[in-house]
This record gives sequence, structure tokens and C-alpha cells, in this order.
Amino acid sequence: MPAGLGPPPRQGLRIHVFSPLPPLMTEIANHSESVLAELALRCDVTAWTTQADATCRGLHPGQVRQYDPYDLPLREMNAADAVFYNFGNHAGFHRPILHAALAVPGIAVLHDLNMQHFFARFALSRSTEAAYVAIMRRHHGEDAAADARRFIGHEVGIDLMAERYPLPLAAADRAIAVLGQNRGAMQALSQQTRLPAYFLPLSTGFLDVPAPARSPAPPPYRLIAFGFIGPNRRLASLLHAIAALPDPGLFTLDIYGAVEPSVGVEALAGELGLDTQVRVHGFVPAEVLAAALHGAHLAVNLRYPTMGEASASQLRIWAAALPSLVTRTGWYADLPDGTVAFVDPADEVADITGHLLAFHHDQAPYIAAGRRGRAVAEAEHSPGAYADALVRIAGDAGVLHRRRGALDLAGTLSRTLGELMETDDLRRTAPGLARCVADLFGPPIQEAPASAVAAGEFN
Amino acid sequence: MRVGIATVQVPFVRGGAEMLAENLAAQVRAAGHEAEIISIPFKWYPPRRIPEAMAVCRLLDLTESSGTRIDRLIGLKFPAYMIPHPNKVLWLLHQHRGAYELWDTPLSDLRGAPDGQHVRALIHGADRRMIPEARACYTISRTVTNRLQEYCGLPSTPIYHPPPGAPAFGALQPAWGDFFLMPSRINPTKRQSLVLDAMERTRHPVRVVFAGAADDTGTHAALQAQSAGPRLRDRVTWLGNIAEAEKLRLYEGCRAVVFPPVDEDYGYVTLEAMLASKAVVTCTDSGGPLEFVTHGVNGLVCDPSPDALAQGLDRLWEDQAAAREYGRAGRARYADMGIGWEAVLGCLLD
Repeated sequence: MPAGLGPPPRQGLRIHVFSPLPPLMTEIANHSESVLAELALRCDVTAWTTQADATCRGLHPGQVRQYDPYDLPLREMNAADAVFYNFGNHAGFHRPILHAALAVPGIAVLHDLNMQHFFARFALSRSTEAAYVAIMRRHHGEDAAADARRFIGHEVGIDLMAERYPLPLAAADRAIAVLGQNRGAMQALSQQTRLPAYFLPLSTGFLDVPAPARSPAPPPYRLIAFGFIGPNRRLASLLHAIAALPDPGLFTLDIYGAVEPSVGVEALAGELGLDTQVRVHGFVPAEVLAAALHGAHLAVNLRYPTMGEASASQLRIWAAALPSLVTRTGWYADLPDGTVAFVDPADEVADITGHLLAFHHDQAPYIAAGRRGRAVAEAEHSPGAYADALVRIAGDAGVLHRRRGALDLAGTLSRTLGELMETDDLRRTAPGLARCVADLFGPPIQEAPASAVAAGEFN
Repeated sequence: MRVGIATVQVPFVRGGAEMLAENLAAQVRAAGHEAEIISIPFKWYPPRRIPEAMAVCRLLDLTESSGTRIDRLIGLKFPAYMIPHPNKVLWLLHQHRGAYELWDTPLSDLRGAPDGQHVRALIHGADRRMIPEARACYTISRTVTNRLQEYCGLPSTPIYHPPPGAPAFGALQPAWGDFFLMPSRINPTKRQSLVLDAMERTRHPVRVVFAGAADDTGTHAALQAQSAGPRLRDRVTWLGNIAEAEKLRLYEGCRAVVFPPVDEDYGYVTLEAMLASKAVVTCTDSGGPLEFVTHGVNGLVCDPSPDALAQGLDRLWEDQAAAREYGRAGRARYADMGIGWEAVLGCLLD
């Protein structure tokens, strides 16, 4: 047995999880690694990945399995009591998972609720562009299909497509349930689907390291931003805010991760005379980023616009008990009082400037917010609690399969009869069909399974 | 009484289930009732077709026909036993085996298929709801009853019935010749390949005659290729589908019958062999045959391995007297068990 691993996996409930895994540098991989380690303590778990070099702390090597999305190990996949498929917007990481999810129905874990970028990759190939149009038609209607054809013809851009057609449920076409990490967004999504929609607070695996004891520090104060950084991370506004300070030299900014060239952060810093205070580090090993977070004084974790997803970055900031600035929008807008400092997107530069000045004058409220953030992360975002909820949902897989079966059958019957008869006649026939479906599998919509109590289910 | 016999049929495939339905209908008519076989076409692939077939059955109204009430519906096979009826009695041949006892074997149609686990969950749920709907649940064997209890927690009572043409088998003048007979559909669940594997390992030049049509060409071709090798070429005979008279002649002349299926529901072959005074060589995991065959009394029960089965074949090949003795004991056992249609109709039409 490899050193540091716990006892062999428990027998009983068999759970399979499809996810990117470390060393891929994605927050979903980090999240899954910590959750898988907790699941292994609770059930017989297998992690499936296409990565040849995948690692997963807490799992035995035999519990991490590689698969070929074009030759799926169906016999083994079907042996699971429940399968969880983790979906994000990165087509390279998640497209193999879609192959698996379409073959073996399971629970779709939606880390991103705007999946347009993911499915737009289908539009790039002649062999899959028809599938893209069909997906757009199925989820957003004929206008969307027409726009999809325009997108394929380069008449409209991805931003417009993402704004109009988020495709939040397209990855759940064969799912028995969907699960997301934003309470409000999942509640809204539950109105768009008859599938059970679960809410589970995102978990973070960075809580096993104690947070540093923070106290007021002298300037220059170290700001930090990290992750995949595009224009919506508002670094331009941050740089303008620093430049607008009476003494811009009070703050430095360290940027970790991938910065899109369109952000032009280094050029802008040069224009604003901040080039000596701003450093772009690129991707760094996890321990280097952890040290940077511990050594920073204030994190800047802005998003505008945002698709509303829970932020793994924010949990990481909280895990380090680091004060942070966030935009009052989407998932961030509902963060508990006193755990972050809000920036209003309508008055962004002024708000940031105000916070930087306030931090300079009195760091204590910010430090307290970071400490409260850590407490919230420990209470609501632990991998153990997340794993507990997954196990409960898995225990209800039989009910979830029957609900999905009922929905599929109802759809097939109504489509078939719709070909045979007029709408009024179909309406008269419908109660008989509904009775047939309910006899076989239970009503398509019925009382929530037991797991909903713990996990938060809306349908 | 008007009696409907609800079953499913895979078009162009004929086996024991079809014979059972026909015999049951004949016996019901002979008892003075009207009987009609109501057969629903069934396609089990891709798995998404299965819930649709369940719904088709569920949407049928067999409470009456042409204005006249159907007094009793006897459900035989999945999913025909889901057809609703106020006076429904089940006499289960089997459930959808790929979702139950075959799930963990390569023989399951669902286990290795897209949607397999999903459709399995649907079948399990629907069976637990639909089967108790009947006023009584009987099965054709203890094997089927045990499965129903194990997988669905549902009680049932087995009732045995004679194989088709039982009197003709009972009237045979047995000889114990120099070949084994395996009279069965050619299908992976019947394990003709295990018999060939065993023949590769026998010490004696054991001969086996296989009689029965193939369910699929792929399996048949693989078996024929397996038997074309130098060790088996002259010892294996494939007859395909044969007439009843030819089958009787083979039963009459064979040394013994070899029948090693995987967890067979019932198995007419066993009963035919017993009536024909022939020993049965079967396996410890063969299901239905084990309800009738006792090792060393009226046949041999071997481990399901080529070596063990080879030993069984060798034993009866070199000891004709034992084959004769086991055959006669089988015939006596059949008589002792009181297997007949009267008991079946007494339950199903009660």
C-alpha cells in the first residue's frame, strides 16, 4: 500500500467519478481530488480519467482508471451504483466525459452553467457541426439553430452565442440528475428541467493546511490575483484604481496563472507607470501559489460579467484566511456578510480605490473578513461534507433512474402519438399514457428523494 | 372460461417458451375452456427499446375481446406479464435474465451496453411493482422462484409441467449407443462451447451429436470453427433443426444426454432424457436440471469446467452399465414426481 493512504476502500456502494485530475491545473481537478479522497473513506470509489499521468491523493492506484472515450469500458461503468460526471467549460478536459455520460446515464455535476464555449468546439469541425446545430435547436429552439449556422459561418462571435445561448443543460442530455454549486442558479435551472436539480456548496481541499495568523502589515501591501484571467477578471480596472491612489506605491500586484493576451496587463501597467509593481508569474507549482497566498495581504477576485458559478478560487482565498475583493454579482453576491469586500460593477474603479485606501488606513476589518471566510469554508465547503452528500445522492440512484425512465418514456409516447393524432385528441389520451408511465416507473415528477434534504434539491 | 395466455416472441426464433405456450393452450382447451395465445413481438436491443416494450404491454387492454370478457390472463414472459388484467395469474418462465442473474456474466445483454445500468434499474423497479399485481404468482421451476425471491424479494410457487410430446418420449425403447446427445438451441447460455472444450480433454474418443437451431449466426460459426480442429473433426456432428421423429430416434439411441447450460430456468431436455431413460450430464451451475438430476443416481453433476465435464463424459463412455442404470433411475424419478398438466391447470385456473 502506498504510504499515507488509509485502509482499503470499503465495500458496498460503488461510486464512479469522471473528472479531470491532477496534475492538470484546473480547479475541478483539485476539487475532485479532495472529494475522491473523502469518498474512498465512505464507499467503493473509482476515478475515471483519460489522463495517462493522473494522480489522486488518497486513492489507491487501482482506484484511478484510464478510459478511451471511443471504446468505453461499458461493463465496468455499468457496474457502478451511481456515476458522477464533472463538467466544466474546457472542451479539452471535459469532452471525453461527455462521451461517457451519453452512454451511461449518471449525475451531471455542472461546474459551469454556461457551456456554450464547450459545445462551440463542435462547430469547428465539419464532422460535428451538424451535432452543434442540433444541440442548439434542442436546448434553445429554432432561432438558436439559425444563429448556430451563422456562428459556423463566422457571421457572429462566441461572445454573442455565450450570452444568448448558455446551454446549461446540454451536458445533461442523458443524465438522471444535475448538481451545481450555486444555490440561486440551480434553483433557476430547476425551472428549466424536469430532472432533479441538486445544490451542493463547492468544496475545497485546501483546508487541511492551517491558515496563517494575520496581523496588520506595513506597506507595500501585496495584492494577488490568480487563475485563468480574461477581461472579465477586471485587472484593467484594478490597475487604474491603483494608479488613482494618492500614493500608487502602497500596493504591488502578483498575478499567477494564464493571462489572456487581450487583457494586455503588462502594457497597461507600463502606461500607468506601475510596471515595477506588477509581476506576471504564469502557472506555478501548487506549493508556490499556496506560499504566495499565505504571504499576500489582499486578494482581488473580481468577475464581471460572470456566469454565476461558484468560485474555487474564492474558497482557496478563504482557506488562506486572506481578505478579498469580489464583484457583487452572481455567486459572489450571495456570499455571507462580512466575509468579503464587495465591488459594485457600476462603479468599479472608484469602489476598488476606496477599498485600497480603507485597507491602508485600517487593515483590521479586512483581516477579520478573511478569518470569517476561513470559518465559512470550514463549516460549509469541506470535502467531507460534499462526499457525504454525494453518497446520499448515490443511494437514491434507483429512484433517479426511474424518474429519468419515466421522463424518457413519456417523451417517446407523446412524440409517437403526436405523429398519429391532433393536439386535442392527444390531450384526451394523455391521462392514460401518464397512468401507464406512472404504473411502470412512478410519476415523472414525484416527491424528492431522501438525499434532497441534505443536498438541497429543487425539483 | 376464456383464458388469454400472454407471452412475447422474438420473431423467427422458436424455443421452449413457444412450445410451453402452445402446450398450455392445448391443455386449457382440453380441459373444456377457450384459450388463446396473445404474443407480443419483443426486441431487447438497444436497451432503450426495453422500456418501450414494457409500455406497449402496459397499454394493452385484455379485459375483454370483441365484447366478450377474458376471464383469466396467464402471464408467462417479460414484459408480457405486465399487461394489466383484474384476474391475472403469472406462471413465470423467467424475468429479463440479463438484468438479474446474468448481470455479472458476459451473457448479460445489458451489462456491456449503453444505458445498461439505467434500463436494469427500470426493469427492477417495474418488476417489483407489476408482479405483485397478479392474484397469484407461480413459476415453472424452483430455480425461477429462488431468483424472484433473491432479486425482487417476491414470493412464488413453482409448478412443474411435462415436456411437449412427453408420451412419445416415455414410449421409446432405449438403447445406449456410442454417442452423447445435446439437443438444444445453439446459444451461449446453453454452453455448447463448454462441451467442445471438454471433448478436447476426454481420454476416450467421445462423440457428441448437437441438434438444434442457432439463435445467431456468429455463435454458430464460432462453434463450427472450434469443432473443425483435428481432435474434434470426426467426433462432432451438427444436425441443426431436426424433426420431432429424428429427435426421438436420437434420444432412443444415445448413450446419455449432455446438458450443461448456465442457470437454465427449467430445461425440457432434462425431462425428455428422464422419460427416455437416459442419464443426464449437467453442471453445478446449470439451474433447472439440478432440480431433477442427482449426481450418481440419475446422472452426473460436474463442475462447470472443461476438465470436470470431460471426466463425466469419459465415465459414461467407458461404463455403459452406469449409463443404463442412471437412465432407468431417471425414468423412475420422473414417475415419482407426479409431473402432469392437471396440477398446473389446477393452480393457473383456480
